[in-house]
Amino acid sequence: MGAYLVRRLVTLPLLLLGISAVSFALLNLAPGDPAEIVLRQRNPGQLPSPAAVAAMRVELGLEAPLPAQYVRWVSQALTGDMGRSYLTEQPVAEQLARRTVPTALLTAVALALALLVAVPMGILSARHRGGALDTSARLAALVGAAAPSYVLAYGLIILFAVKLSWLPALGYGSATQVVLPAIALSLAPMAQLMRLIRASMLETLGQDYIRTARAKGLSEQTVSLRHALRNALLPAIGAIGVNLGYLLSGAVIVETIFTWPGLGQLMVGAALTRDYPMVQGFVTYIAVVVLLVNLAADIALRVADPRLRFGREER
Amino acid sequence: MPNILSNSFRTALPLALGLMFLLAVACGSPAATSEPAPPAAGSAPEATAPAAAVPQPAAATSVPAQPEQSSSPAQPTDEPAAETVVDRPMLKAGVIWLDSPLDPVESGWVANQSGMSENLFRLSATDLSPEPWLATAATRVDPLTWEIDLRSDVKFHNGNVMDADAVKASLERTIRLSPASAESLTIDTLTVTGDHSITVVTTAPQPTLPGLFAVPAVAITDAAAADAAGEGNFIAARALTGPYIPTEYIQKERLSSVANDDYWGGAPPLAGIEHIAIPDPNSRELALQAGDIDIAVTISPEGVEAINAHPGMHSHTAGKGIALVLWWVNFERGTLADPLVRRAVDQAIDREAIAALVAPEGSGSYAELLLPEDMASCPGVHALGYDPDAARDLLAQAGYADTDGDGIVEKDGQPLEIVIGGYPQRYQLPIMAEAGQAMLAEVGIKAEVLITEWSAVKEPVWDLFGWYNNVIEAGDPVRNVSKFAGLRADASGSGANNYGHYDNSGLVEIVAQASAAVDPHERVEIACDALAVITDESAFLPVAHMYMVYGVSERVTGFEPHPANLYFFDHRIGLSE
Repeated sequence: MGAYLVRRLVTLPLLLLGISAVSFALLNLAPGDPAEIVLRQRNPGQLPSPAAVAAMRVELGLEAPLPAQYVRWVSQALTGDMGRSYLTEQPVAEQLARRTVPTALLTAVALALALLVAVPMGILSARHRGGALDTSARLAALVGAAAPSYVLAYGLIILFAVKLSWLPALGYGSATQVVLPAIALSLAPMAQLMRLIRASMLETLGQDYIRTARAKGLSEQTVSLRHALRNALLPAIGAIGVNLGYLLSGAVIVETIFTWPGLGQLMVGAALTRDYPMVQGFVTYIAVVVLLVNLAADIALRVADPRLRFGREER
Repeated sequence: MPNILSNSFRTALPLALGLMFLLAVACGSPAATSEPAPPAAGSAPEATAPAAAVPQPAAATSVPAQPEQSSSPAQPTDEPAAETVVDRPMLKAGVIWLDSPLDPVESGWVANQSGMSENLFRLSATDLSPEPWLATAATRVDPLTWEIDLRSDVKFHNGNVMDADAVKASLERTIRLSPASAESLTIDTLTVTGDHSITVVTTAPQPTLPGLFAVPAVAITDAAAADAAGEGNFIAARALTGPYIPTEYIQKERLSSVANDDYWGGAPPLAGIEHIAIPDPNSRELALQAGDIDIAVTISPEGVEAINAHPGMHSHTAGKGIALVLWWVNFERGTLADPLVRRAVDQAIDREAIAALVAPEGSGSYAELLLPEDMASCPGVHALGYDPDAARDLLAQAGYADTDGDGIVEKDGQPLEIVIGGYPQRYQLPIMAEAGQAMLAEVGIKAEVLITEWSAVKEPVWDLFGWYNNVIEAGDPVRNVSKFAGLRADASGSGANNYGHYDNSGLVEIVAQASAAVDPHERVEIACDALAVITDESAFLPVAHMYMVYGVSERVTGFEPHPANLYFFDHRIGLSE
């Protein structure tokens, strides 16, 4: 376990360096002069003069060669300074930190919703395999997994905010405002987790030790919940780590539609305005979060499943 | 199964779910920050004010004086507030952008649009010409000298009086911190000639100086308070004069304001306005229909239909074109440098039909000429008009024929191919490109669509390039023709923005006459002369003039949409119960 942890922790910075280098290069390969974009943003309706563009390029440090710009960015990032937004001129790290809370909240609620629905539905679906409940649940899961989050988001707004007036269509600050974006964000991972738990449950229910439990005369409910569920949920732990990456990336669309002031909305705005320091900071930040969460999920899985732990150490 | 596993699931899962639920319930307001730090100050030399008295006007030209307490819809009225702020409702507005800083010298658009800042002059709602706002009159004494009379009843949000000294200090600060404004205004000296009058002397003739004073960056601020507040603390200075006082600004998220009960035009009937940035047009329109906002600023043609069909709300527009979508023509690439081919392209594209697609009734209108009718009516100037047969004839005259029967005309074995460029941020441009491509194919011209970054306009990769921009700058037709034709601000020749490399030397002489033309009719005539040259040469292909279209709840009262995208809200807008 210790050696595994050290190995993962050593590869983490290398992965981050690779991701940041690739995103830095791609951003700078994209067409469009950031200096001109900044001037056009600050003075809508006015065409910037070449002299103003040249001055802005100097101000933004764009005159240096690309590798030098990257090295400077990395050395600053290591001290927590990820540069300043071209557009707002606020520190990138400060904006990312402020936007993290809404995104974390939305992601947590969406994940909770996904688990609250997926776990019982997966179990029930497996227990009633082939029945009406199973068929309905699988159909719903198919729709949930296939429908793009923006379609679900607009559909939810039209139904619950416009037609029924039960919930607000957008905003941030009250408990009711988190409901629709969290549902929109949770449906895809909910569907995936439900199908995963159902399949895992079906496999577990076919194991010898389950047959033994039934032979002992235990009720089907006891067999399912006390003996099968524990093993059936193991794949879900790994899936949660993977889904967190999905939730964060899915939040980009959902936050924009619901005007949720999180990282996703910040990213969309930054990408549309070619706010390169902000996009670069976002990509690196999300990479750190996803890598750490996956590491945590892997560790949790090893703690929870001795087969993995002992299997590794025997080699 | 080991015990650790069962214990983990018995305790950790419910705990995690419970925590997540508590987080959701306890969801609090986001931490607000003050306005971001402004950029480094420019280094434009400070204007100086000589003590010498300014000669009285001889045969002076003037912007019509406005009574200080006017009942004109464009001017605020004195109506005492009957209620306290807490009794009044708060209006919620969904806007596209909240990007620019509030300090006018750093852009000024957001402060102007939201009813927080005001200028000496504003653009009229009727003909988009400059009219007095914080000024009461402007008199042109000689080509370089203007006298400006000011209102005597204006206070900044911090309670300081806006007098001539304050206006002089404000303009000096603008020149010092906004190089673009300094370059445009060309102010030489500012002299206080009375408590509420100043004299402005420019280094070059500025017959439309009042229009230049209507630009958002030249809004009047309490310069001393703004400078004292320091960078990033403009809100604390309370340095503006409008009917709403900014209280909190989170760029790209929201802008809050309270009513200015000391407003010179009377206290607004609202407690304030909450501006929410909703960049996605669908979300903005749905938020209005859900009742989350009371006004949606700028809605799409599809949104107009949905909102008008929804009970309790309607779309609202001033019905005037404030922006122009057009195609630049590239003369440098060669293909369209041939006047016959250029005219053929002009006549092959049914711009009126494309305008109906991108600017259906209520959201815009066909732009036969660059300028909207409200700004410059030119009865004698007409575009060529859609005529595919004439286009085919012109191509034949230019030596093109379909020799291989593939539907594309050739000359010297080379097929006639052009590239139609544009950028995706304006939904009109990709539609225009695809429609144009189909129409050109009908006459044998192969067109490739290139939707890319705006900056591609500088590269020699396009023959037609779509552009969306304001056509109301400073309320002056000549200035706007010059801008679109790529002329320098002083009309001395082709500017850096002449991306199509149009030989506009024929326009220089025409536009140069405007430096001495103060009469608005005379300026319209000059603009029309320039438009006639441009239209005759098919140098630009205008498509549509776009309107400002709002979605409005029926609870909103006193809302008169202004055609310009500079003034969304004034002190008259209210909200019924």
